[in-house]
Amino acid sequence: MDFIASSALPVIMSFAAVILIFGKDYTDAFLSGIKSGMTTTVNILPTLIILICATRMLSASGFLTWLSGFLTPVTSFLRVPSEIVSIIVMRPISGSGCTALIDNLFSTSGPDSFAGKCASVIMGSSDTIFFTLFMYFGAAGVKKTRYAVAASFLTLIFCVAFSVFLANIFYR
Amino acid sequence: MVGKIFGTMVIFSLVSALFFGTTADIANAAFSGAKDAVNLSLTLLGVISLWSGILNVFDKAGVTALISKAAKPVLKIIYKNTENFDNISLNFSANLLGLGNAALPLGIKAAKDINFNRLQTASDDLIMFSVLNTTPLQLFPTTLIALRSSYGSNNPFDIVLPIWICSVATTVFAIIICKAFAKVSK
Repeated sequence: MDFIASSALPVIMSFAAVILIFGKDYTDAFLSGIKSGMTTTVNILPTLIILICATRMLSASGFLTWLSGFLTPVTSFLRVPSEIVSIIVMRPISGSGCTALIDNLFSTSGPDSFAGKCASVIMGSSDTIFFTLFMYFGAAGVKKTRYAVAASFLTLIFCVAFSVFLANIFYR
Repeated sequence: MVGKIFGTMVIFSLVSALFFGTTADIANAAFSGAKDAVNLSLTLLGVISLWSGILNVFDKAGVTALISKAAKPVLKIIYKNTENFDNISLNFSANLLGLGNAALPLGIKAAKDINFNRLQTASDDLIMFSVLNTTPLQLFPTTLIALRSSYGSNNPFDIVLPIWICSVATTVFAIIICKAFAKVSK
């Protein structure tokens, strides 16, 4: 599987290469595509600065640690291992923050511990809510987002609950 | 939305910083965060540009239209008011293959396609698309597997099956919840 996963990119690139060599002249399309990619990156930079700034401040302030502690009674009732509560709290806010916490969890409890596997399942089946919503609504030029935040948080809660449920079935 | 969420996060940090005595930390965090955002965008600049170039070749050569045509029957059920599925289906495929850096520019294009008349209020389809992107279906969670094996896991792959089950269930849940919200908010 590792082989298949790592071949995805080379296969797609060689497919593009075949088109570039044997198709019509797509050089202009290639170059203008690259240029539009650059514009995209520049356009998302303002949102990126705002988001990463706020995320870092929230982590540094100790708020997330406090929130994890606050949520522990609820999560222990739901049989969520206490080590991964901070990862769940971080999940909607920051992808890199989450990876750092998982890294830390793997080094302390090990990747094959129940908490390690539970965190892996949550991490693998969810994505950072704020980043995704900011990027797409920002690009589309939308101001009013209606129920988007509520729907994505409910989805994340479902994802966490179902991950813990599955982990209990598979690994207990 | 961006302004409100940013404001809320800053107020929360400020109050907790006063409470926990971490005001100096959040000041540093704000500046290092801004700097890291620029560093990240430099990394993204290369990867996103390369992907956009390749994908534009696929667009012009008609590959995109083929994928879009194949995915249309399914996507038509999820997105009621959208006609152009080119970027939506490519974004889905990129997520599926675990190519996050390709999925981002495609997602941005897809979001623009869905909101082609530049409405200020998000349509049901746009919300559906964004929420589904917060729970992407991924065949190969490569980063996670690499991280697990680097910490000496006995079987780094044994999380894959639960992740598939969980992602499919979460995606179905997300579709149902978005449809329900759309009905109620009408």
